[in-house]
Amino acid sequence: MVAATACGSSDNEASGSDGSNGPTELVDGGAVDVRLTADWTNFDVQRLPSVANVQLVLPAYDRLIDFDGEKLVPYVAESWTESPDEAVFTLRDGVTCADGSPVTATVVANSFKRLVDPATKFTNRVQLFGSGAVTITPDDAAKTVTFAVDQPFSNLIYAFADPSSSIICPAGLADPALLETQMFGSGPYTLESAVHNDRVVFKLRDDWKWGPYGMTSATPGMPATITYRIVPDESTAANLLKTGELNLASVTGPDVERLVADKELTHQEVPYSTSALMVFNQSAGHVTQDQKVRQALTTAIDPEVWRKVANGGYGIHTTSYMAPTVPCFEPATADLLPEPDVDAARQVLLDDGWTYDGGVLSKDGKALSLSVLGTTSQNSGPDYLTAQFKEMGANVELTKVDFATYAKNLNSTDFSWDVTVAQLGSINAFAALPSTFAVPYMSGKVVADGGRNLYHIIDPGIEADVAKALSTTGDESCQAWSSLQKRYLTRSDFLPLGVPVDNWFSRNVEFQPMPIQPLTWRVVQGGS
Amino acid sequence: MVNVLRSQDGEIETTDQGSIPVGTVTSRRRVRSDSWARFAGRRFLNLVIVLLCLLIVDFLILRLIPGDPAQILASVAGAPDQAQNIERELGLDQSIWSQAVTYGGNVARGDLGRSFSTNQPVTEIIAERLLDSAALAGASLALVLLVSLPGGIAMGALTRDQRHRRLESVFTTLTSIVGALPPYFTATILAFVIAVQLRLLPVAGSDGLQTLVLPALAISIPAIAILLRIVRVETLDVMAQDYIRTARSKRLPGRLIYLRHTLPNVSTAALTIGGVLFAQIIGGAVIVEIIFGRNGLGSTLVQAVINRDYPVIQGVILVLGAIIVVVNAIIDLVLALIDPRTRTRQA
Repeated sequence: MVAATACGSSDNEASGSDGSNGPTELVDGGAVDVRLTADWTNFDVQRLPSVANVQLVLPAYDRLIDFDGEKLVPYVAESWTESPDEAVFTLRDGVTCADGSPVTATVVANSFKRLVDPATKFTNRVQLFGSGAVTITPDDAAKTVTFAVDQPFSNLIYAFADPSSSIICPAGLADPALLETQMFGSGPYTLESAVHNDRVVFKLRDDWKWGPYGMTSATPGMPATITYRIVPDESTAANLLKTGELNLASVTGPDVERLVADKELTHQEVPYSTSALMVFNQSAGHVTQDQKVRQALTTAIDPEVWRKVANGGYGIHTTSYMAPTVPCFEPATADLLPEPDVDAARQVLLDDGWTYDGGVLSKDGKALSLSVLGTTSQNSGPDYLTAQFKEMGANVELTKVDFATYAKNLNSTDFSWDVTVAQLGSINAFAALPSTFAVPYMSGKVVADGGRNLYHIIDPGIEADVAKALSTTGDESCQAWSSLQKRYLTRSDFLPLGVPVDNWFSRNVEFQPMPIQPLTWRVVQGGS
Repeated sequence: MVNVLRSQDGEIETTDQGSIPVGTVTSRRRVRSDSWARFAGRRFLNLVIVLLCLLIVDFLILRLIPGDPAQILASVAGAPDQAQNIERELGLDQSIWSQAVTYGGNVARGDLGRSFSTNQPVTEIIAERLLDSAALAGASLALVLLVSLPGGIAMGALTRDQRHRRLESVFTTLTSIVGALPPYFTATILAFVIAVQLRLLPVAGSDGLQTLVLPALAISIPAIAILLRIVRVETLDVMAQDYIRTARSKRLPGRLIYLRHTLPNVSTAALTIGGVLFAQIIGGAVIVEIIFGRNGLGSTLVQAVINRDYPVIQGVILVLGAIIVVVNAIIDLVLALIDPRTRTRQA
């Protein structure tokens, strides 16, 4: 069992300025205009959570605990105990919804009961709570809420820092249809207005006093107004940053260079928690089911070149499916990755009985043919893979499509591609966990059997490693994650291509880069 | 002499009395009312046919392009059964013909469906954003006509009879280049120079007249260049007519010659081309709205295509198509008023 209690009341000043030329002064009553890259679907974060939806609920809703970039910290819960089977939270006094009603243990329990209710169709239930049943027991007198799972799950505690676990107040639960267009939370901000495809505006509550690290609405620099502007176009977002009509935005593509050169803007690279992976279709009938073929293909590709052609050179080198900063990252994975070399890649297959004639590799009279699936957002990356495989000796058909088509091809139960590059963001947006990506996308049941093992990676050793890692904690769990990472690479199940980064830019706003959330935004003046 | 009598049902009777030409006055009135009726009827039929064709074609084309809206909503990482559930909820598991019949019936009742992404009624989405697009299209069209008509006539007057040949050469070259520029290119340049570098106008948004200036310019500049050339050529043609020569020989002031005699005759061609340009303006507005972050039908359409939001795509295309047809019908009506020969010819 692990216990954690509230820290002192000192404010957790947001850090993150990069390249400031002078002292900055916190400004009270300021405004932050922040970019959203897409329109939201609805405000009910427990249903169909999308990136836009998740960002929009953060100002208006609270969670039991928060993740400060390094560790979990108290929030609405002033203390808790945790184990793989159970988490018990003791609530603070004085927490109220925006309508003034108190946030009691029963209020918290009812919100979570709706979250785990199958009728709600919350998509990430397994990732947050494991595959077992969840029992939720409130005690208003003791101000505690107990969450018990009947199958041990070592990630359980992190679920309560996730935006999907935001506490919905009784007024919202009384008429859930309203949750799609309104917000019923206890968070620091109230929803002022929302226009699809345009903007969403929040105003600061005067009476909010229960933030992490003693944060309140009177904390110096807290923005009085937060406006999310929906700006899908990257160049438009860059222009808005340059003119100051946006204070805070992530930008991708060619516009990053001119923003980096603008000394009036602060630039931060915010890494993902998972790597982009070149993965293979290991279902029956595909040549990539053969481990030697996978080994050859991983040898033919240089991740550093991928990073340049796909991401403009941005990204962080890694040797596993997770970023090096994630707990239980295994450094020994570096020894298991091949040196990129097309000739060496070809030799792997020649040693396995393939022949090389007229520039094409063949075995048993059949030429090596591959289908590569890419998306336009990967820029020239898929083209690089295709060129390397052709040079190695394969006949390659490249399909490069928009995201909508890519998603359909990826999730189809009869998908025809052999090689693709996957980048799945962390489901638990606020904590980088070693399980992310491995569970359930590279283990467990395949899509046809109702699971989400997208690439048909089926191995008893992998299942044993995952089961042990999720049912234990501490060093024992880390050892299992370490074994898993090495096993994947020994089997050539994927090639890590690097951890992508989001390029964030700000003007007169200080913010914590991980995780990006309004609680850490402070309006400043002065500096660069 | 013939007396002309008109019965209750409009039939003409004549009696042999005096020298009034048989049927002249009432025949002219009857022909006029008949031609208006036929004219209006033809335009209405045109509208209905175009809308029907639009409805059928965009319904079918959407379902032929790859990409699954249910999968997008479920996200790449979603559970397999989630996408299937969404498919069922949205009716996408039905056959195409079943979906078509359902959709056609709903449209006939004025129901354009609900957005797959936001569940908003499509009619509500269109109503919210129509004004923004109408403002942009209207401002652009007004700019085009207000600049091209006087500008083209002025250029025609300056360059008639081989005068100012160097000016004519510059004008022709410049309008050729500018007329070939796509609106998204002019939008990018204007945004960068006027908004970002000079900070004279906002970069993006839909609040206030200031945010309308750059997008309207971006769309109208290429169209202005095209129409300037056409109006100039038409002016030269009109200036070569006998009635203009007669007006000059009578020493009428220049403003009378150009405003009363040249402009109306040039307007006919300009308005006709203006109707065609309006369709281009609508098309250009789609991309320009994205660049300038305007909350109009164009940006809505682009996002809907990316998300495969079928009801929104279908509804917006239907409305935009109807607007183009209606505007062209209005232009035809205006032309018919200015030049009755148009009406009679078509009747």
